[in-house]
Amino acid sequence: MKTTQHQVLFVDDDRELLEALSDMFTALSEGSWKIQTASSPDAATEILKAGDIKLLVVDVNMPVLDGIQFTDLMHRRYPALKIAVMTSDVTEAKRAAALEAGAELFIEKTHSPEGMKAVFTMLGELLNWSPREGFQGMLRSVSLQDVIQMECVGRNSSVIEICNEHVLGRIYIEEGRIIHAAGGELTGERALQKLLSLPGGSFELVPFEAPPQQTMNAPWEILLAEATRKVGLGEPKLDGPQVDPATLAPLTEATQLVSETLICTGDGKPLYDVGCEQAQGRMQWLMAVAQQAAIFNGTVSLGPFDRLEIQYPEGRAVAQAREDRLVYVHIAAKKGGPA
Amino acid sequence: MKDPVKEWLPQRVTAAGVLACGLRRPNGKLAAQCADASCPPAAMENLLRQLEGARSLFAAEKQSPRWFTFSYEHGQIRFVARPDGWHFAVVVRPETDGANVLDALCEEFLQLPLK
Repeated sequence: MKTTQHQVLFVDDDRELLEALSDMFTALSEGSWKIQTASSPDAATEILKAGDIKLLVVDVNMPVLDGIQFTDLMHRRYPALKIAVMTSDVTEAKRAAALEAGAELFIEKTHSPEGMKAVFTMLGELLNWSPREGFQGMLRSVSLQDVIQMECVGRNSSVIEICNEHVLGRIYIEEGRIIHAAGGELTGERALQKLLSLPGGSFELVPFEAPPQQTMNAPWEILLAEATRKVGLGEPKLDGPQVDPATLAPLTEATQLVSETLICTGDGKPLYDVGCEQAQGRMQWLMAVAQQAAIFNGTVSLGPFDRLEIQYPEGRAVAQAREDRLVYVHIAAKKGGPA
Repeated sequence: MKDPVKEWLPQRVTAAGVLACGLRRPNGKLAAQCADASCPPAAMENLLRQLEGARSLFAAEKQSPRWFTFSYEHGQIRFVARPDGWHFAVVVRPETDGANVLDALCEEFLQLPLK
């Protein structure tokens, strides 16, 4: 059976390294990779014009146009092109910039045979990431949170499987509710937060199956907001997994959209604000909600206040006001969709 | 319906987990039905008054709520107001039959033929 030969383009101003990479990876791939090389972004651009390259591997430190700028340009020009960034000077800032620019992988440059094999394995994994049933997500334009959100507002049932080099996790969504998450040895909210804080990896949406246990029952808005808050308080910044936008078509037809999100510390320091026209006013409103909840609790004792849910003719909102956090999420119904 | 206080309200506390419920007529008169000693009629009536005041929370919003729910660790308070001045509130334990039918109950109240 004839197998597809992957075309891989390496861009580096170190010609000796390019030769070594070409020889090594051609041998390691046993001919299944066709390696092309370019010693400048300009030369690489000419090769990419042919449209045959499936994976672009770029060095960061190049004269005139550095690898991250080149990644950004090529990602915009060829959204389906898979891009890996290599550098011998690994820093968190460069890594974040590379992923932000559209790279799926950020790897340390190596000259040792063992290191080369490890890089080959990683690049091979990247080449083999492809949609199965549903869609596969990787690192770029649509975040894992976006997909969870769309599944929830669409009141869908599904399981999101997440993996990177070290962690395999699952998030179970049943009829728009996040009911369970498991990752490594963690379950429940801690697992969800851990999975959402992963700096990279891939995810897939697979048909729903009942989880071994149900560990969460809070509204999904609160669960996602809390995970965001935890990340904002010190976890590494999320690099959103990407998916092929074409595969998202059924989900983007969701009848509801999150139109406003505000997350603050308990003393009113904003942590996350999207679509909130008057954050200060909303914070004061959340505090008023907490006061009102306390008044009700003085009349009928029901324990600690958790949240206020509001059903509007078109959309709904969830507000949470606790000592350590204030959260408001408004979900607007799209025209013609259910509230 | 001849008198919702006598006909409709008592049936609303039969579901498991419902602690109490209450109606406010357009003329301001209150009625409460209780199924649990933790929420006696006087408390339910007081809660109805407080809930009416809580509507001011939504005065600045672009839309008026169809209903809203304050959720606590051990219970939920659902409040729904009709444009004709009738109000309904119910207190339930979470994750019970009573809590599961709150939306349907509110829809029923909004459709109820009341004078």
